This record gives sequence, structure tokens and C-alpha cells, in this order.
Amino acid sequence: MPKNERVWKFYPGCSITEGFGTDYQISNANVLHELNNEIHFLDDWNCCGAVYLSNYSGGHEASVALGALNLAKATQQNANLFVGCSECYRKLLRSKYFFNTDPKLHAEIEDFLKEDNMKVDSDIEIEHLLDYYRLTIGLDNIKKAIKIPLKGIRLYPYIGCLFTRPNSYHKDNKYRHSNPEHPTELNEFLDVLSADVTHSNYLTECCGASCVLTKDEMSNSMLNNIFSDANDFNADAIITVCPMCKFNLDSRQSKIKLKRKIPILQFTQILGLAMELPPKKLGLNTNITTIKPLLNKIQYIKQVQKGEETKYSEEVEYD
Amino acid sequence: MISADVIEFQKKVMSYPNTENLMACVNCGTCTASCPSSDFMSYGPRAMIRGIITGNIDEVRKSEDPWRCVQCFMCEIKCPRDVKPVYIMMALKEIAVTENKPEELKNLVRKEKKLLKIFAKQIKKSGRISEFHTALAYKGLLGSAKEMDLGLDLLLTGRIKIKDAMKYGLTFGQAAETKMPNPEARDQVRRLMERFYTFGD
Repeated sequence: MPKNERVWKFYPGCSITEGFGTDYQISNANVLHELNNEIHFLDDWNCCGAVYLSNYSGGHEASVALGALNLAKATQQNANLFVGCSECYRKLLRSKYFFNTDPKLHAEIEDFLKEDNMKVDSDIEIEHLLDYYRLTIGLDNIKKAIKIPLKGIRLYPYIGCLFTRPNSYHKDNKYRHSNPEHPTELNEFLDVLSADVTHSNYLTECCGASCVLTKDEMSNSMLNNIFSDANDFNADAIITVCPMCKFNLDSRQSKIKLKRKIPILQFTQILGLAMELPPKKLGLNTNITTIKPLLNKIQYIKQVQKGEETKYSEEVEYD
Repeated sequence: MISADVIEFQKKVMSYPNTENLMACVNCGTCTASCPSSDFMSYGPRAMIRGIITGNIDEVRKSEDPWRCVQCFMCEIKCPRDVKPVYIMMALKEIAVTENKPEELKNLVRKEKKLLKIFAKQIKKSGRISEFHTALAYKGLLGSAKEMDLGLDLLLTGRIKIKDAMKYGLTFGQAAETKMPNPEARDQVRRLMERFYTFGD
């Protein structure tokens, strides 16, 4: 099928549907419903293998095959894919890269897929969900849906390490990103919300989510860098695009001695707040680090914008 | 004169994908400077690659550094010679595991194999994985007890219901296992793992 006739489907990954990232999907589904731009799951999607399965011989081949199987299902359903989780995004791009460049593995996987009458179109497009909002829905349409411009709210963008890296997997992508070390995609998205987007020295530095299970002191040290930077810029919240980063930043603040705890929100959740959706509909009631200071501040600016008498003092609650 | 087993080791490392630019390294150190894990490494990517080039392969072989790499690819972006240190680290890991030595790394390799087994078993059985199950099964009873404060946070915020938490706890996470709804698709994933996942238990 020529690629301009394909539909776009959503590959969620195990974290978003069953794991620690379920709040991401709650906010995603509700926000897309409000924007009248729903997207369907890829039918029968399977796990991408995550970071662990790519390492050892026997694991490498399996992880490429798992990704190729997802691409074969996308071929069958005549779909290009938007991916919610940055790790799954990397794995699917990696599978496509090795499937296209390793002839031996290519032949073996094709042989396996033939048993079920499946094949892979080598030009299935794989993009991150952030680009679905930015480009398919369009920043202009999103701006029209904003009810509370977040002017005065300081947001620290944290896009994570796998959104633009490694470079070699992204060569064929249509929505290619601005700069692998300082991508501007999340900044542009947050600008539409009229928020005060702070500078971010750790925009694409790893948060260590992949080593939390095996060696958490490494992750704690990486998280400390990110939080110190966000505190230096007096951020009201840190905005993430990956559910692994979000859960890591959100749940481990008590393990690190922090000057001040910072609310962590996914980009879909902060968008939902600007569209005046209630926090429960955005999965925000299950955030581990309290987001009360942020909600208080948003309530305050909402009252100011509507010319109402403000019932909130400048003092922010610290935990 | 570089000895024969050094050349053999270099060839072995370079037989893995994306390692062909190893010899192009000019020792600038930008990789180690940009590596977020370098504080936890004994040598760092620059010195490890230097060791392979100059023949200090005993030190390189015994080092735990490849297991500290989190695959964030910052080194790859910054390297002026396109050496791709991440792939060299992955190659060193595979060599240590498949040759089943040296002695110093046995504990590390055993723990990584354990995590890999938990992952692979879930994918083989159900096509998808559950983070709850993975964490509980890997940490075990004692390890999970150490993370009790996180467990409490998850409960108090409603991220996980009390009913589910008890179920997961009592079954070591087995009850958290998640399944692809379509049995034929699930079976296809099982066949894929049986054919491609040759790492063994």
C-alpha cells in the first residue's frame, strides 16, 4: 500500500496500559476526546522488549524480531505508528533499523512472518506521540482549545534521552527533530500554553530509569542533577514526554534530599489543565509527589484572568 | 608488537554491529565527560576504548563499566569521530557473558541474567509485561520490603489499589501478569521467542 494511504494508529506499550504509566493514557484519552481527535490502538500489539532484551546475543535477535512483528501488524492494518513511550519509540526504530540493515536477520524474520502470511513494509513510519499533538492535530488547533492560558506558570521542559537519540535510527523519519542535544519540540508545545518555559540544562540528560531496578544510586544521582536545575530556575512543574521518566521523577523524590519537591506532569496532563479538564480526568489524583502548589497557582491565575477577587496568597505550600 | 590474543580480542569486539569505527578514536575524552554514569565507572568509555586499542585487554575484560552504561547515547551524539561507545560497551558485555568469565563479574552477570529471564519469561507467556511483576520478582521478598515506602506511596495515592497490592504481594507479582487478549497473537509471540530468543536459562 502506498504510504500516503495509510492510517495512523497508536502503539501504547506495556507501561501505559498496565504498568506505572496508566495516568498518561487516562489524560491522553480524555484530552484527545475533547479535541475530537481520537486515535486507535494498534490491534494485538506486543511488547517491544524494553532496554533489557537488547543486550545479549539471543536477546538482540529477539528484540529486533518483536519490533518487526509489531511493524508487520502495522503493515497488515495498513497503519503508521505514533508511539507513546520514548523507550518503545527507540525500540521500534531500532528494530526497523536492524531489520533494514542486517540481511541475515532480515531473512530469518521474514521467514518467520511467512508462517502467518505476514510481512513488513520497510517504510512504516514511526513517530512519537508528542508529534501527533504538534503536527497532526496542529499547534494552532491546540491553542484554540486552551481555556486557561498558563501565563506566569514556570514550566521546566524535560524531554529525556531517547526522544532524539541515537541519531542513526532517525535518518528516515519525516518529522525529524530540530537538534539531538537541544530539541525544541517540547518548548514549542509548551509555548502554545502561554506558559513561562524555563531554560533547561538537563533537557536530554538521562534520568536513569533503566537502572532503577539494578543500581538505583546511579539514577538518584542523575535525578538530583535534574531537580537541582529545575529548582535553580524556580520551576512550578517539570514536564515530561515519557512515562518511564515521569514515574521515575515522580516517585523517587523522597529518596533524594531535595530543597523543594516539584510536581511532575506529562505533556498531556499539563495540556489538560490548560483546557480546564478536572485533575481526576487527567490521572493527576494518582501522582505521588503532590501537585497542590501547581493547582493552587493555576487557580489563582484563573481568578486573575476572570477579574474575580483572588482568594489565594503568594505563599506556596512546600512539602 | 601487539600480541596475537590482543588482535583476536579487537576483532571479536569489532564483529558486533556498529563497532566498526572503534579504531578511529582520538582519545579526546568527550564521551566520558558527557556520560551520566561515568562517576560510577572505574574507567569510563574513553579509557575502555583506549585499553582495547593499546592492548590492555585484561583490565578491559575485568571491568564492570559496561554494566553501568544506561544506553542514553549522549556519547554517540558528541563523539567527533562517530565511534559509538554504546555499542562497544554492549559488545564487551556480550563477550563476558558468552565466554562465561572472568570470575570478578560472575555476580553481576548472574543478576543481569536473572532480570533478563524475568522479562523473557513474561513475554513468552503473555506477549506483554507487567512492571509490578518485574519489580517484585526481581527484588524478591527482602528487596521489596526495602522499597516499602514506595509501596506505601503507591497505595496512598491510589496508583495501585489495596486489593491488587495484596494480590501482587502474596503471589510475588505473579497475579500482576498481564496478557494479550487475542490467544492466537499471544501464541505467535511465544513462537517468536522460541525461535529467536536463544539465550537460554
